[in-house]
Amino acid sequence: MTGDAASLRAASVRTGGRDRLLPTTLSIPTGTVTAIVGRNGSGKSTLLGVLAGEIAPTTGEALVGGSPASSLTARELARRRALLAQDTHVAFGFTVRDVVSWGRAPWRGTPQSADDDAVVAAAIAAQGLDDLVDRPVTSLSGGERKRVHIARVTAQQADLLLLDEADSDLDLVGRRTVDAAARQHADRGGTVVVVSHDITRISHACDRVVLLRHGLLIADGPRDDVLTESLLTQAFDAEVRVVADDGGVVVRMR
Amino acid sequence: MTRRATWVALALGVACVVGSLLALRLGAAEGTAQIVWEIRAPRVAMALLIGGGLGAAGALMQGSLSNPLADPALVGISAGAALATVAGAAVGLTFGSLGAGLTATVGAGVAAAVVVLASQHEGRPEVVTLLLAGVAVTAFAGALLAVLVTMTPVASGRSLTFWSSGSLALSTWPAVTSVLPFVLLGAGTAAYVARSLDVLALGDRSAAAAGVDVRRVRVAAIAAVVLLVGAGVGAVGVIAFVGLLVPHAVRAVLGPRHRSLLLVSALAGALLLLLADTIARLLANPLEIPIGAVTAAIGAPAFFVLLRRTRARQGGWA
Repeated sequence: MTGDAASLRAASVRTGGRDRLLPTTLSIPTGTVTAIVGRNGSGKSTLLGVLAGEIAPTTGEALVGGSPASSLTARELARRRALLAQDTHVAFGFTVRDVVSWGRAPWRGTPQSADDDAVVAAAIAAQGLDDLVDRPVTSLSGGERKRVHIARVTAQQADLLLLDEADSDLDLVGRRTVDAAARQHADRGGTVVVVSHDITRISHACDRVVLLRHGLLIADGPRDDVLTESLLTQAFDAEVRVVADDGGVVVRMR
Repeated sequence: MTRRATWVALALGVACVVGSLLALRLGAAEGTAQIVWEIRAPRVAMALLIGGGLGAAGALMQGSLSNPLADPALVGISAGAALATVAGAAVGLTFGSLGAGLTATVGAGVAAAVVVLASQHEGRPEVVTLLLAGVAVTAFAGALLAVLVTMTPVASGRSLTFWSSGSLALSTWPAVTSVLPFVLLGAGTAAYVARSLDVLALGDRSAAAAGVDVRRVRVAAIAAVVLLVGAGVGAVGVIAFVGLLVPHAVRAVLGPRHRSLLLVSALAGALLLLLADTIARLLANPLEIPIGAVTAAIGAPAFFVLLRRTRARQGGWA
């Protein structure tokens, strides 16, 4: 697939009398890893929600895989994009295997569902959860639970993968596993958009960066063009130092 | 369904059949064929039908709200059904008729709609508000019911104890056939939503992102609850604890997957109510104990033990 995995056309979001996202036009090119960066409350999660088609823009339009998100059913959307939300709570004692298998729900009744067992097993193995498959998710640690959900959204096999702070709750190794999974997904022709506060780390995994400040998109482009001292200082209202590092940057407060 | 679930379902099915045959034989010495067929048989059939409906409804309620404490009696659905039935009787509707079943179902549906709409927050029912709204609706419906029963004692024909604690003593074949179609419709609806209910455990946002039409599934599940319990409450009053307890017990044995949970909860609920009614009928013979007292006496301690066990094993509810 070529072109844009997702795009916004002058999309804005206003709720509760507050502008969450000012009119934004944005393209997420297929085959890339894009990081959304900005302060708390800058509209990162809102932007991700609009890209996912789960938040209907107040004005403008969101396209997922070339179609207006508003024209797609929940199921059609779920075949095109997978979304990892911050909340990892699962009610009742469902096992790891149960939860990961829900990633296959959008494909029920389609020819793709023939691979369900293999896809679920591979997603579980990729997150190192083999020993936990029959454990209730409620009994796992925060990091383990996060990995269960990462396995679930990868099992969804959507072209576009949206990760909202997938790295929170994860230790160093867990973060590297997520970054590697994101890279691999993009290298295979998929597209990944991540929200993360760990700019230094994410700079080593992403190709592009979208920078937000108070709901306004202030920069969008290749990583090295956006992760600059002047743009980050502007975005964070604080003096930021950026040092080139092997395959990325190190970002520090001055 | 897993092999284990299939075996449990079969065992419960057999236990229901054996239990029914025993219940038909147990009782006063003059167990003639006529007594068995006209008095005990409809009572046994009603116990199975109501118990099955309550067991499945509890599982649906808990699953659709992702909350282990939900129950049709707790969220006001049962109270709505009871009030509607008494109001119908006050204007001349016959107990045990199809019209009474329909009236009770409508009452249950109105109560469910009020509670769900009152607890809407950002487009979804907020669970704690929903449970508290259920308390309010139950209290309000209970108050109107008390007034109606007191003012029209002849037309309502049933005591306040009947409505609050339930009784199968007045079950007749026409009453059974007035409940049956609603329970069947409810069971069909429940089977339709069973698989999607699992994914709702992710919470509304993630479930929707995984392709589930959350609102449709929830509305269908609550509609199924209304169908499963509404007409039953109209026929036998409010019987507590079956809907709350049975799904917990089944989850402890088989896990939380809804396809097996719904079927096995229905069978276990049927068996539990059959047992409870037999105890209610025989323990103080010739007096009848309210069946709700029996289900609460069995259910509350068992529920307590289950709560402790589940809490320890799965590490919490939230």
